[in-house]
Amino acid sequence: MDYFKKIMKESIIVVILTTIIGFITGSFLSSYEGVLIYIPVILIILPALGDTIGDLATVIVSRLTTNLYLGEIEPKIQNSKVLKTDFFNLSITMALCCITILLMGYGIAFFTSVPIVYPFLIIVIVMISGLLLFALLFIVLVVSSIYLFKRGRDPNNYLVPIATTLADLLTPISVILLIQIFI
Amino acid sequence: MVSRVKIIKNIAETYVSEIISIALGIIAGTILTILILPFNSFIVLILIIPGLLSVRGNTGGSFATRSSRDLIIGNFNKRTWFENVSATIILSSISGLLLGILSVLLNIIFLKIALIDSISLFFLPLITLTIEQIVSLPISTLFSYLVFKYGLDPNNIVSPIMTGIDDVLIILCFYLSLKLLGVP
Repeated sequence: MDYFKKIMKESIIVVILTTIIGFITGSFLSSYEGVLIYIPVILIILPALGDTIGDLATVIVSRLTTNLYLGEIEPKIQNSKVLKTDFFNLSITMALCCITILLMGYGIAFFTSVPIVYPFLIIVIVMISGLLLFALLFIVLVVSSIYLFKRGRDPNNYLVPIATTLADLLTPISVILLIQIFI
Repeated sequence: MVSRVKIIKNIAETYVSEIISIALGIIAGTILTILILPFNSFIVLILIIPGLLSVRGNTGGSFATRSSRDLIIGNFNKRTWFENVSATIILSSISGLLLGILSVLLNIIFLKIALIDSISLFFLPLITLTIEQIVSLPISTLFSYLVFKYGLDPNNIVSPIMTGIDDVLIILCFYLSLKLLGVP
């Protein structure tokens, strides 16, 4: 039962924390139930947008960690060509993903007769949310990776669950807050 | 020129793998909108859904990565699989119980919505996650095995696709649990 014990020991705290954070996200969404009922297409788009931001955040951590171990990036906060290229590549991917999410989301809403309210505003809000959260996570993850790496820790073990949980938490908050600001 | 080709290749690889994940996420969102939004108790139900979706990444996703690693390093056998399944089910159940407790407390203290009774609300996440794990874990195992058997790297393929499949399964199992418990 060593394998079982190891899984339980290493996972239990992370699972409890992410469940609590997921519940906080739920409480936030519940307090804006009216927005979700009024603009139901948001519910179609939100899981895909959260997953995408989480996936790209995982890619950031994975690439950064590899580059730090390979010595392509120095463990210092400074201007770096590798970081600039990664930021550029992943920003374009994020923008393409937002466009894909919107196309699929609106396509499905159209065919399933889900009401489409404020379509252009929602496009702007999803693009701003996706790119802003990506940029924010990029900065936080670069700084955290370098900090952890300098202290001899593997950033993958700490930052991947944190990044995906942050994406799950911040995506609905940013989308709903932008809707509140614009509408 | 080489650099530009490399940039385009990088963007294409990441984007293509994201398309499947996005498609499954959109399907999950659509099921959520069509099946769950019409429930009268939606204001309480939406408390639980993000938590359930977080659990799938940290239990189902981790199960898939552990299975993939075991297959690659030659550590995959009945014993490790059984221990992996047991730990995943226990971790999911702990999350389900925690979500149930938090939902009941929040409803009693703040929301005060009587549309759904506390016992149903307490058991709803646990029943959803139990049904989901019964369906998802065999699919994940079979998927990892087949991907590995055909010479592909399960690390790159199984986890992202399984998190998308789990999104869809969780929403469907949530709907099934609501019907089983007779939630309005």
